[in-house]
Amino acid sequence: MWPWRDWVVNSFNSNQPFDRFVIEQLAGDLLEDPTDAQLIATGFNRNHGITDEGGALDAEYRVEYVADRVATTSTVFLGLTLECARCHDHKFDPFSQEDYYGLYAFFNSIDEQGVPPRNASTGFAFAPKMRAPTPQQREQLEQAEAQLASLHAEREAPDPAAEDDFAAWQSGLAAAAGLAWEQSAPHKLHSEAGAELVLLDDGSVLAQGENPDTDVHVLSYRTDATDLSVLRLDALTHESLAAGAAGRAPNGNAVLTGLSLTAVSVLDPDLQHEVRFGYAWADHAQGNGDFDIFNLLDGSGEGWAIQGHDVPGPRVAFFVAEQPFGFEGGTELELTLRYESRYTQHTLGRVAAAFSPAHDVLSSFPAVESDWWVAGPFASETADRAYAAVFGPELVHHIDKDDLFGADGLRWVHRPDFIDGETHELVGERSAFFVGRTIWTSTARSLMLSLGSDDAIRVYHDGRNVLSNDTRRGVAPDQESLQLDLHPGSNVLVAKIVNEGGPAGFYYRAEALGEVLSERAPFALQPLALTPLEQRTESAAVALFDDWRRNASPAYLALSERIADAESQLLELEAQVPVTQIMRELDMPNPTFVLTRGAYDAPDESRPVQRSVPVALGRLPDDASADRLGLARWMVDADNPLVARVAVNRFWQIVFGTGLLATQENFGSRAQAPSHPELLDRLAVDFRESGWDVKGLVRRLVTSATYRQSSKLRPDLSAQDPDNRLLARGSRGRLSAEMVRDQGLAASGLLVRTLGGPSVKTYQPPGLWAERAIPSSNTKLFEGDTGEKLYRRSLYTFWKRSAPPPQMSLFDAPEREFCVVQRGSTNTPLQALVLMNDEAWLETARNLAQRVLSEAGGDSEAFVTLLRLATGRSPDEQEQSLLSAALADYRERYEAAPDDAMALLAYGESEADSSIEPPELAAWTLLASAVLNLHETITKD
Amino acid sequence: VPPFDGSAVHPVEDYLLGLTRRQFFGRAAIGLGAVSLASMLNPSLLAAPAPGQVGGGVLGGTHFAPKAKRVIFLHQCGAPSQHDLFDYKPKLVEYRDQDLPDSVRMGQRITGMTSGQSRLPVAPSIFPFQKYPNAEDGLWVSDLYKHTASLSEDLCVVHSMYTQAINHDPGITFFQTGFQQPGRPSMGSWLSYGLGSLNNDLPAFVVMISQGFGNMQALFSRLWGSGFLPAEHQGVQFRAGADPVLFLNDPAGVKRSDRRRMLDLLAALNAKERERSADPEVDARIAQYELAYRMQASVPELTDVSDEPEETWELYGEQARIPGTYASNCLMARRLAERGVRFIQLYHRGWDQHGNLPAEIKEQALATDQPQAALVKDLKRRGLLDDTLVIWGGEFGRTVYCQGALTETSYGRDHHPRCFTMWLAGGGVTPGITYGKTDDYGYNIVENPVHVHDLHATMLHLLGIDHERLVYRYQGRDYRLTDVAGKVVRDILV
Repeated sequence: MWPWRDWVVNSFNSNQPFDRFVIEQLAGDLLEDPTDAQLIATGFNRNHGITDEGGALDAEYRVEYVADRVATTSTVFLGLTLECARCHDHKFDPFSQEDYYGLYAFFNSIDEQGVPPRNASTGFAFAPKMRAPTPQQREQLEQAEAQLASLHAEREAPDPAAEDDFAAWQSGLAAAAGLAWEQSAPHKLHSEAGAELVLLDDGSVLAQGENPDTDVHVLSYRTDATDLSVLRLDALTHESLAAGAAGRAPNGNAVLTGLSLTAVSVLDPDLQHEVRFGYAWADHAQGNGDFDIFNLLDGSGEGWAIQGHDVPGPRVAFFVAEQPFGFEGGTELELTLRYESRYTQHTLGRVAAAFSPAHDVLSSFPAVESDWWVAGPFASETADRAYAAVFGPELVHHIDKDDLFGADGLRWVHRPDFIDGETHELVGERSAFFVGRTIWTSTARSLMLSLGSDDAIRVYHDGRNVLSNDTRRGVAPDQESLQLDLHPGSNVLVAKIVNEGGPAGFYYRAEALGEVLSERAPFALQPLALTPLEQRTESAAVALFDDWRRNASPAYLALSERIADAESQLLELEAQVPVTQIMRELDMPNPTFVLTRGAYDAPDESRPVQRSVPVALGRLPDDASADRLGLARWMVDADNPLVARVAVNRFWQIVFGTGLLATQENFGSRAQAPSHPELLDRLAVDFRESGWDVKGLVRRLVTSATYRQSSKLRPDLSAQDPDNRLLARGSRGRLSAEMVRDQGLAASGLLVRTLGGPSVKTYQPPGLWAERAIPSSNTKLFEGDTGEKLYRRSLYTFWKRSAPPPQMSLFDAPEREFCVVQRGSTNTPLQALVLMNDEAWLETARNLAQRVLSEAGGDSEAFVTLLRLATGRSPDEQEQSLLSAALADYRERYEAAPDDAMALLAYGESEADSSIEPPELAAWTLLASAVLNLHETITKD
Repeated sequence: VPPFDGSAVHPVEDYLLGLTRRQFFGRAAIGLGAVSLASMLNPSLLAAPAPGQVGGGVLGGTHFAPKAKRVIFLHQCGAPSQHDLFDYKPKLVEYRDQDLPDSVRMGQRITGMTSGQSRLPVAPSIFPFQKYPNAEDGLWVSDLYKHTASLSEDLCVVHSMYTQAINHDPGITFFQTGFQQPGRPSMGSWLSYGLGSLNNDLPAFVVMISQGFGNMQALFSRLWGSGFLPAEHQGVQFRAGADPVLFLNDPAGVKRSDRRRMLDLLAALNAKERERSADPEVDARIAQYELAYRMQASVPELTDVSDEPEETWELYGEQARIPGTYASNCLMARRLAERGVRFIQLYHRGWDQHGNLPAEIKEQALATDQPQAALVKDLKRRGLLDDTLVIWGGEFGRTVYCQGALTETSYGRDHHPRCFTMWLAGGGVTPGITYGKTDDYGYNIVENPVHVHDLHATMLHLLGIDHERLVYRYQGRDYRLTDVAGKVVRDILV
């Protein structure tokens, strides 16, 4: 929420008129074309606590958030205790329950949730919210985006030089693979179900005529080669097929459910065997089911689908035999293509087969990953048990959607929505999930995996545990890295995710390592280069060139690297952009009813309420919009005296300690009368008529004769006016918690006066957060900031509401869980302990001592400097001698024990000034500490 | 206020003399030691007469003769299962794994954690119960709590507690402040405000936290905060380790004599300021620094348990030697009670057993049973139990139906605000009785319901306070701990 804080600071510093200050905070989002700043301003009404407690009821908290807005808005700006009327008509002031819900209705139609899910990636900001870059960030973002765009343009521009490189690469590859395609025409064609198979001139086979639901095609080829090892199957388009597709189904798709090749010796027909294929590759397979080409190797799944209905064009597939085939004296090759899918008529329309020997073809095939499959949640009593238990999916060597696991018989569920490189959410507490996929590779090679998990993770490769981390965390990229060594064929990778509470999560990204680490791994379409140039379709040629260029062109790769750098810079910048909560209205306002006794689950439908202001305060003008903007404008309208009075009284309270009306939180009938009613009226009217000039008002107060009086108590006045309400003398009072600290920092010279920015974590005793936090809290562990952040104004101190900084609470700072407009001002021994013993104060005292010693000439000059810095006045003779005597004692003490001096000087992150002898500095540090502890120092008098 | 005469009187003595002269109270002769911390903190409190009380609170005494002078509140955060500790329901074995009848549930709301379950099967406790003698026909306690059961003659066990909240944050806030939403003063701060302190140099309201086993819910400063009451009434947390009160210890390299020297300088310089400004608040400041100095000695004396005899460790268990444990905090509670701390609040975390209850509750019982029984016994043998009220319980109860899978050895229980068990001991509560009854399912109260407000009213009554008359004017309205409700449960008073 710090962008809102910055907005408030900017508003005061730029002397924004107070009426705008009110309007933008209450209704900035409803202004015409609101600026980012005006949207950020509406965070005023999103500062309430938001629960995400498991089991909390959404409806209940929606009501509480609205109630907080009514209470805050009416307390801060109207000085009224309207929240009394939530449950019943106000006992003292003329406000009915209808009045309360009339105001409530302005605030209950926000696009929000009562119990929103936590989301670490947006810094735990809850919707409605917005990104709020600072002007500097905005400029940096624009620059980074422009640079990225220009790099992209440069990389994608045509590159004639690349085409030569491509041609050279391709011929080298073909030579290395030792391919010699034999493209003969089949001499025998057969369709079991009666389709008409026609041999075309180019040797391909076109299916015509009847299109049976299922079919088996048998094509016979004759060859004299003896060392064949690759079958290439081309699925081609034809004018007789659905527009541009290779399938015969009315939609252009096809599913090949089986492929087998039988080799028969021409010399001895008894000599025959089925060719076993160990590897297969296709340039495309349908993704929304179990349709991978590998299904054809073991007859599993649903076969290979070409997705012709969505992605037109030809397909090519390779099948690599485990052993070379071909008999001396000629071989009859009988190719059987089975189309027995439950999707009827899904046959290939036109196919061609080619055979080739090869000595190094496998290394050109990339590793291919299936979609993800998920099994779970497997519930357990605790996350620890879920982690320890074996549920079954971790042991599989094959992901089979028909397998049943666990007592509830859970199956693998296909999750094509699990995109690599993104985090994915799984739902179930104290549970285990299994996320599995198959990875096929033609040769042994390695993948470098980056994994993330919420919470614990174990990884299995073909049933073997290869990584374990029993941790509790939110999911993020790169939490684990793992080199996965693939063996040729199918590899089953299963990650077991164990979740304790909240959502579970999974992240996966893989980078292929070259077979020799320095070499490039085959890219996705590389096998297309194994087809003869003249037989390659134009679209395949273009796709292959593009893929080659993306993966192998040196110029392109160099630019890709620069783009990756630019992208990561942009991401880094974006991650720094704060996300802040704002108000955003629903399209249709929620209906509002009086809640019986204020209970969230007891709306009284016989008492509907419209948006309205309390009757006793008037009514919205007829032309006002019935929304927060209308409400805000009504509040600062010249006819509405309340807001100006309340505001003026607050500034008076800040300056004088007590308001003209003593109860800032209550301007109602039970409040005491103002001490100077005419003055309050006059100041309020002048304030409004000045154009709501805040700085002018404050200047008027602090330059008044009343403010500039001596605050010395006078017995005669005290007898008549013990509380000094009539201000016959100046007022006195302890500084606020924040001012006590800021003043000390300022006196010592440590204060860093930078404006704005995120909150900072200053010194805090260890363990304060952990002892109260839930285990999964994002603020369980306190990690203090360092450097300048330690010395920012207390306005910027990080605030955990369940465990606020004790140095602030002990000096009466409220917890910030609800709206407080008037603080106490206590005087306790615990405050004394903070000022004497807190590390921050010891460091402040030492720095004050250093400053005094560096600025002043001798002891007595230093006493003057010391007291002036802390209290603004010089010591008298008696005080000089008191200080001098103490200094002498401390000097003696620390000169006798320099180790004690060193110990005292070690507090705080800043280095002690080594040019001052430690005993001398220690003595002065205690003296400075004493002065910082003076009543006068922490009192505004 | 008489004019400051500038004579060389010690400023603290002068402060006390000043008070005497103003007849705010008449005990100046016994010096600083008689001035309570709470009243020192805010001189305005001294404006009220405080007959018979050391540094009385705003009430200036009690409304009627108190039975208890102090309270030890053993809050079990997360809500312990009454079904597995105190509320014995033998019939549940017959109902095992049957759905909770609608006639019992009566459509009441359940939390977001079990509202999606397809069924709500009854889960009887797997822990055996035994009957222990008391002043009536005996007290049933499960074997998890044998030490606590041995107090059967001393305890008043209330089976019929109920509350409004169904989730932890509002539930525990309601228990500690009488209101589900943040913003109201906590029990201890009301007492500090109303009655002041019984001791001289320790806070009136002390808080200690121990970590439990299992699912832990968050704690909040507001639970011991002072709400709209002056901040000096907020609870002071005593922590495990070398710095039991934050910032208590002098820094390294500063000896007690160095601190004394600094305070002398400070007092002398402040006295000059008193002279210049004529502001009596300066005197109060001087006194605060002297009190801080004395706290620096009295707190370590309090937390230094080396003076405890061996039998202490036998009584409380060896865990009590480890600072920060519940056992150690129980022992510390006795030491604080001895020294007159008004309200001693313990929080033990980890009772939120939605799943795996049998395993986790064993660990929780192990950590709490012996020490809390030891505390009551220890108070009793020292004669402190008569005027110390000990209260034990969580922010609500747990369901009789199972959350998650019900197996032979395991089950979970969700939040249940409609009935739960607490116990009280000492401080004017009738020993050896049980109060209130629940139905055969332990789901609804059938006799003598006790609301959280009633417990608060009863607690205040035992301390001599009419809960309707301990009020604070804020936002034009009089607020009290019991809001607009609360009945003293007279049936359980001695």
